[in-house]
Amino acid sequence: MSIWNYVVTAHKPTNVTHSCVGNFTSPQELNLIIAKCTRIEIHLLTAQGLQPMLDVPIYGRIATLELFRPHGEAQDFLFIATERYKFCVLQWDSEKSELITRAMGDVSDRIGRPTDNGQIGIIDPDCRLIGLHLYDGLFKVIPFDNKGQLKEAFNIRLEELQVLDIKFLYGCSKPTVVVLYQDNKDARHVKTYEVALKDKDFVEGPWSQNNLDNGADLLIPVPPPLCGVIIIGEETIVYCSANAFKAIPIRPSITRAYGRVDADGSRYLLGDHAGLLHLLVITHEKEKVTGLKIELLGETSIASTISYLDNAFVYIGSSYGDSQLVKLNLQPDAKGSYVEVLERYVNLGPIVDFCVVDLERQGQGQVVTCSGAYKDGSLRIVRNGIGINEQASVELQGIKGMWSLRSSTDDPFDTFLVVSFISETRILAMNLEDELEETEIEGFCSQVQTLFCHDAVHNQLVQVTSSSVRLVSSTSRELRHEWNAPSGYSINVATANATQVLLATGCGHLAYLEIGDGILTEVKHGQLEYEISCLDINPIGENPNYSQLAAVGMWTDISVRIFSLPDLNLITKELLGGEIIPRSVLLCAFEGISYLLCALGDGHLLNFLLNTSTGELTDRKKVSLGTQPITLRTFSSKNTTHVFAASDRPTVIYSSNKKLLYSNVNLKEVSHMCPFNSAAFPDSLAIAKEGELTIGTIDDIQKLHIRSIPLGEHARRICHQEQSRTFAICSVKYNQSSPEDSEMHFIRLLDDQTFEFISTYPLDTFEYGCSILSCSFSDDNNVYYCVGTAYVLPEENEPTKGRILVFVVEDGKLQLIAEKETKGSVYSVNAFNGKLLAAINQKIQLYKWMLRDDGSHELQSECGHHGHILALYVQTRGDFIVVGDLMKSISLLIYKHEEGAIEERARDYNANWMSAVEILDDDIYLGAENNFNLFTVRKNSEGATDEERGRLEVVGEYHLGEFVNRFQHGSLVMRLPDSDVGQIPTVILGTVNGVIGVIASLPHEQYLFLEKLQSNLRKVIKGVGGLSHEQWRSFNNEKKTVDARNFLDGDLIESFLDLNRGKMDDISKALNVSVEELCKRVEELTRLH
Amino acid sequence: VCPEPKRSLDAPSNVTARLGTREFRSIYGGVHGNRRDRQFVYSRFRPWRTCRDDAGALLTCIDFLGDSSRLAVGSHSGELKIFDSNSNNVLESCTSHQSPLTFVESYLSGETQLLLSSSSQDVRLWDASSISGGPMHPFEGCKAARFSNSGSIFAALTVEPSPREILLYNIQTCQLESKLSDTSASSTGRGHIYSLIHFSPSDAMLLWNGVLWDRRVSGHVHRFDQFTDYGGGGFHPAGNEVIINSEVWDLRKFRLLRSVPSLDQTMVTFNARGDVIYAILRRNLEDVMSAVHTRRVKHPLFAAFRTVDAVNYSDISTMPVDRCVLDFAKEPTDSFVGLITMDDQDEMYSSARIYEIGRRRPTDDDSDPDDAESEEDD
Repeated sequence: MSIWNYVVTAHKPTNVTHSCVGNFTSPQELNLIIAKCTRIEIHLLTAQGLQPMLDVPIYGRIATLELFRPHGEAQDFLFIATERYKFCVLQWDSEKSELITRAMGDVSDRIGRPTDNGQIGIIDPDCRLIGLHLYDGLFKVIPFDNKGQLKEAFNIRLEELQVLDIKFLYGCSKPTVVVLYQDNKDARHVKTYEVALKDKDFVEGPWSQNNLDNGADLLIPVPPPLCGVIIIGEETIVYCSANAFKAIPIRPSITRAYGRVDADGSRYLLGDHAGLLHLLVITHEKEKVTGLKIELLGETSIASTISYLDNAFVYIGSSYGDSQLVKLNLQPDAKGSYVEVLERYVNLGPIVDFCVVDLERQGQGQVVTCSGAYKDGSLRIVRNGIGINEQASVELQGIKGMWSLRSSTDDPFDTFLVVSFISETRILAMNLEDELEETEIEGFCSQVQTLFCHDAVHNQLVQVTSSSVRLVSSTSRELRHEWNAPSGYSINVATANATQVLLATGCGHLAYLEIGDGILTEVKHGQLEYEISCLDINPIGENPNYSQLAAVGMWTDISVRIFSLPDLNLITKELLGGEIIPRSVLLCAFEGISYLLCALGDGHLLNFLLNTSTGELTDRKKVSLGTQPITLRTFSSKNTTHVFAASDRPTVIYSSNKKLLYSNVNLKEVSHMCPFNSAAFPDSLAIAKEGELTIGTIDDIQKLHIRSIPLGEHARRICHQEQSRTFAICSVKYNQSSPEDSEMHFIRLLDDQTFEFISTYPLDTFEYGCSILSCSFSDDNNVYYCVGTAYVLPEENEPTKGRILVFVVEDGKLQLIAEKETKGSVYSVNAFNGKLLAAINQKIQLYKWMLRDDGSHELQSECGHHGHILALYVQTRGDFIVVGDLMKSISLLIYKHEEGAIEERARDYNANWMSAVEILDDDIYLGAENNFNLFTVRKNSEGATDEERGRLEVVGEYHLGEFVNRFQHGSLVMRLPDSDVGQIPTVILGTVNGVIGVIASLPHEQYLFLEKLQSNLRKVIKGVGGLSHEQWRSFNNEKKTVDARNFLDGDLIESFLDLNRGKMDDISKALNVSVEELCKRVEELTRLH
Repeated sequence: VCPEPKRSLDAPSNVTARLGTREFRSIYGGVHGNRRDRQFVYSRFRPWRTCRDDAGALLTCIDFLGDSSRLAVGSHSGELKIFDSNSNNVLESCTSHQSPLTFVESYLSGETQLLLSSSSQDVRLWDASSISGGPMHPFEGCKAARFSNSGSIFAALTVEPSPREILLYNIQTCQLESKLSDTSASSTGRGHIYSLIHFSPSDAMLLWNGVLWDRRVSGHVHRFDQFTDYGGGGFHPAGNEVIINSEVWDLRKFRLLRSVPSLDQTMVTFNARGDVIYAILRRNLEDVMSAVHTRRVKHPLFAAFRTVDAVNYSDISTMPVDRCVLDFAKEPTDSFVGLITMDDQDEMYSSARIYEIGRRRPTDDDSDPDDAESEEDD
């Protein structure tokens, strides 16, 4: 049963909704604060650019983000209001580098009609009050007292019901608002009101202005000395104050965002819907405004928010494209643009559609999204884990080990690659043509297997074989010295660094050698009680060539031991427990913290914090990486050290915020890896896998990798076709340059490797592509793309005509094979029993694929079902059809073969305005609706009466806080069939804010355990601004608010891993489960995404 | 001449385009998207069920019992009936009132579905799960009973014409809790015949016959100016407005906000979300014969009901039902509405009809002919 669901974010929101600039973290520091709907980020402006300081979730969708400075304060406070009527005032604690809550509260009214045009929150420039417009006809006031504390809020009746914008005016002796509104006749006006705090009422303000531009939508209050307000319309811009009125015409455009350039308010940046950035200048003689001037600066992403930072640097926050850091130059470039884009910040939002594919055919899903809107539309390929970009590869079977060596100690690059086999060792090197060629190092023994190799000081190389340790000159390549294993013993395992060698011969003998100039000296010998399975002396101390510690893994007692060097004294012995022997140990340091990693033969990895002076091991954690023995190796990328764990499930271990993270490498099975930084292939890795040696570079070390394919148009639907290795998309190109906004819709075919358009089918005028599918039909081996369209005539409130188009891909071209006219908009197409199931306006219609006499095919209507307001989202399973309606939640239909009919089986009678549906299993269906909630319903097959069976029972409810456009079964990570996590079915979701989420259906027992963990975490992890997690996740719509049930917040649960040890201990005690076990279980969950 | 605005931020009027912009722009697909969705849904109604009494009784009043599956219907013969809307059958019935039923109202209190039925002489409180055994409690000497929003009390009018008082009964104890009396002598006209008691959304205030009471203070708070009669209307669920006949008043300053001609002479019901008003032509509840009075028959709402946008009071649509409408009911999921319609004015025979919201009549449905066509093609 998929009732018990775990919801977690794989990709955080990236839609930038608000931004502001001020001195938040210190009076001297300038900060940019960005809101991404449910998160805020605090950045510091430095000479090097924007430096991130904090990124925290907010338990709410942010409606208002404003910085303000109360009287007597040296730095700014942050005011946040959420869409569910909570607010908080935050202050920065510079000692702890965290946010403190100065004030918080609830500003909801039990009765009131929420505004249609969005919530408005504003702060009086003289900090006398905060104003909120949340309900039609009400203006809520939160006054400040003279100490800057917030007092009790009250409501003032606002006559104007259709408010477009409200702002506080500067320079007024009493707090004064200017209101832009629309009257019953759709004319737009502005009006001012003074707020009489004592009387808790409005007093008619100093001025008003009637009959503005009919597209007037935005007010910009102008600070002193000029004061007044700028009113931005679609065709005019007006400056208005008690004693001045200036207007200029503009090229028709919709301005969504502005940023003030100067403190005196004489210049503003305006961003319009086409992504054009303008500079608006108020010309004035002293304090008298003489006019307005506007100038085009250039193009940016379509801005939702603009923050002028400093020195001509501007942050452009975008909802429809990547956000940008731009510089405004004094001189135009060759294209006449003053705008120079310095940096882009990836934004996946809005994710309108996506598909899950396995392009590399590696068993790992990738999400290809339709992202962005208008000209900023793009496809994004989102992949979990780290990719290896293959540079060269050779077929080589049976590799047992690999090491790279330099030709001299101070050579920055590696020259040789030593590859060891069961009975020989081969040396590869780059030749002059940058090809890998076999070569020889004369001093090496090449007729046997090499156990270990390393560069050594004094231009030397070390080779360890089962019989000896050979010291070879890297310049002359001749043997300089050899240390032989005692007779009767052979070397089993060995390790080395630039000055030391540690090796184990049979019967627990341990020998420690030091490397001199042309000499190997046995410094110490020891005998342990059992056989040694693995060794490491990777230097992590101050000396990069010398280690003071040795790590040793043991057979028999299954332990790992730390010895001091050079005296080989045992200082720590840690029993690992269990029966699996350690196969690889590694001493390593990340971000200044030392660790001991110990990999077991069954694919588990243990990590310990290592105290380098005492050798003490603490904070033991265990994770499962794969099922086969793991070999650990360090490598560096971008000057940071990481660890590569080679196994059946290769993983990169890295550290972020002093926490170890594990990221999949997108390769199937890697037996050995070594860094190979050659001049021809800098920063590369040599990887041995499946009979092949590959040289490749590695992606940036981060969890999700996103590749952008800018389209210049808005992709609305996407679908992949395995057979033709293509994607097909429905897209729309807006022509924003012409005076009449026009749009053209296309079906486009893209190559699934290059992502180039290879074929295009233009749709008719007014015809929209609404749905797309790749499928085949009964009795026909071909694979087709089916596209559902609608003729969207502006004078109709609902389309009365549409088409279903059937294409085949031939020679890389879309060929129209069949076409069927429909009596409405084809919102959805599904493959169903070898037929095509379409949702057309209020109807579900089944078409069969019929062969005509002339050998061509046509779609023929077989049966249909009415019963919806609009059948928008359809999923099928077997003969069952699950429909998401415009307003009437989810219903379940069944196709009856014998009768050739579709009948309704059950429905959810709640009024949910749906945005996506998915079938979790035979009985449980998942829905998302337009108040940002998720819910599940259950089919009740065992109901006693028809009526009971005819009802879908709501079994799960949850507030996601995101508008979901699409669900898809699938996974972003490679699933290990024999791990617990591999058994958990998952659904991926994509949202308007660019979130990629994962919903995992858990076994009941695990769910109950995590539910307990979640409720304990709620006590320990407090929401920013004191906002309640429980309230945030409660299901909420116009009619009801109920606690979340049968959904867990994975983001909260996984933040367990970020807690300090003390808090972990508290939770561990409360749950009566060890911290190690808790960490292991939570870490496993993190591998779901 | 003002240039025509493009209003590009407005939600498109075509629903397919609106759904397209909703995917990336905002939850309703742009400014006024919510309103356009509302107009789309509440301009379409499709007959779904018709429940009749075989005995041929004249049904007079209707309410849903919790959801759409069961209906409580009162008859002119004083009988209360429960219909199963899936089978159109009478599940239970009981005659307890001495005179014709004028009004029924249901309330889900915890697990119990309560029901209030009123005649012109008495009121009965029922447990709707079993009415055959008779009412839970009879209340004599009062009429036109309405549940408060919280369901803890109900209000009824005294039967005696003078002094006309509102009686507030506790549902738990069935005891009279308090009385509200209209002390002003100027109660004139016949408006009271049409006026029902209304509770404000918070239950703090009551409105009847143009008079506003606050339960927390004694005596009435305000008497609204009388433009026609004091019938119809009610408190707007969004809080700050009161509708009396066709006038919309500000509840705090008692200022006239607007007149809505299409609400004139109507009785209004708000949908569950509180953003749509259903209006039917008002009638004298105590005289069902007057419903087919010739003056009424000419009214456009005689055989229709109307939907009005409760946010901006613009008309959405007028749905003809071809028969005299006697009563109207909504249900909490906003999926169906119920009506009592007079099927035969001479025989005085009526039925309870359920209409599905958001769906067009099958005859209007465009894809049906297509089926016929293509099936013929087969």
